[in-house]
Amino acid sequence: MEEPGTQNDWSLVRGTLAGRRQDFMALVEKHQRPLQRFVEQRVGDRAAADEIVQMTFVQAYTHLAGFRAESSFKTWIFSVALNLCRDRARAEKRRANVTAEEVLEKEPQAGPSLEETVLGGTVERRVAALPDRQRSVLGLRIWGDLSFREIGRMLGISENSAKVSYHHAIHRLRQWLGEERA
Amino acid sequence: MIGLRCARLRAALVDFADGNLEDPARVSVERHVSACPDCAATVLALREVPAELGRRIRPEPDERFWAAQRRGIADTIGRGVRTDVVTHPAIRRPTVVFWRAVPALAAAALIAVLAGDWMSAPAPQIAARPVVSGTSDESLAAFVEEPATVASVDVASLEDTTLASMDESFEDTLAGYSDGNLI
Repeated sequence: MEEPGTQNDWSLVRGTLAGRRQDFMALVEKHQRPLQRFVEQRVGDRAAADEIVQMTFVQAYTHLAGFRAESSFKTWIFSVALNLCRDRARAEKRRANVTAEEVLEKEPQAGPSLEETVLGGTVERRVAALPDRQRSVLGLRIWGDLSFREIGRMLGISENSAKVSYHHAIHRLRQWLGEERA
Repeated sequence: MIGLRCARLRAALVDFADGNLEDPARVSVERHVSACPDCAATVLALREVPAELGRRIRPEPDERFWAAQRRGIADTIGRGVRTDVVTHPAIRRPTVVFWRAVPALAAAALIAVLAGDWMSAPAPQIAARPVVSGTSDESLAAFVEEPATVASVDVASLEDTTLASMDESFEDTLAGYSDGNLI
């Protein structure tokens, strides 16, 4: 069974491949908000998320002919965005390692920690501390507004496993939120 | 302590909390939740924590942000920028394929030159490098209103310049995006 809204996406994909750029911009307009929300909570920075979202759509346009009908367009662009987020995180980590070494050579300074600077506020920090699969499932579900079926397909796990990962993520966040309130 | 039955109900509790569980499974889970304080607390968390996260996240950008984002995408596509030459780590895969072929191309060129000299043939002419067109500042409206025939050529050329140069491994990479295998 196809996910709701998928049929319309297919006609827009076909329209784009037939040369109608306005069809691709309709796809952008339809998916840019959940994608930006998902990427923003993932990278913790609006400008960086904007860059990744733009890159995701440009890459989708360029490779649209290679897009396979096995998944929805939405699942596909979220997969591309998630890969870009992970690549960015790896690059950030490499940079952070270098920066941390430089900082250690200098005198300690008051102010936000490196982790706070990179990850932003408390919620982002808490979510970022989750294991990768739980974090991905949570982000795709809450901010990406994807179904567990779509999430499972994206991450190469069963729908049931996606739900269990989501359950674990919520359980852990509940503990943290409880500690915060106490 | 979470019992065996509770552990087996994790996925069902998610559906139950979302209101996506149908009878008779819903009745069965409901009966368990009413007798199990741990699962009752979990259902409450499954309903409250996502809402709490939504409240704590920074406010959404305004319409100008979304319009600027669309314009950025449209301008990049309008310029015909190939994503495989943008210096971002996630989209460098096609260039890896190209650079792998460089030694072989150089060797082939060297052999051709040497063979040409040996046979006293005129030196092969080196073709001029194609001129890369400058960036255009076309507006989003102009981009969208472009005639379909012109757009059709653009899509075709993009396919020619990108997909045709990809080897089988990159095709697999693309398939991985849709299959979710590379994640």
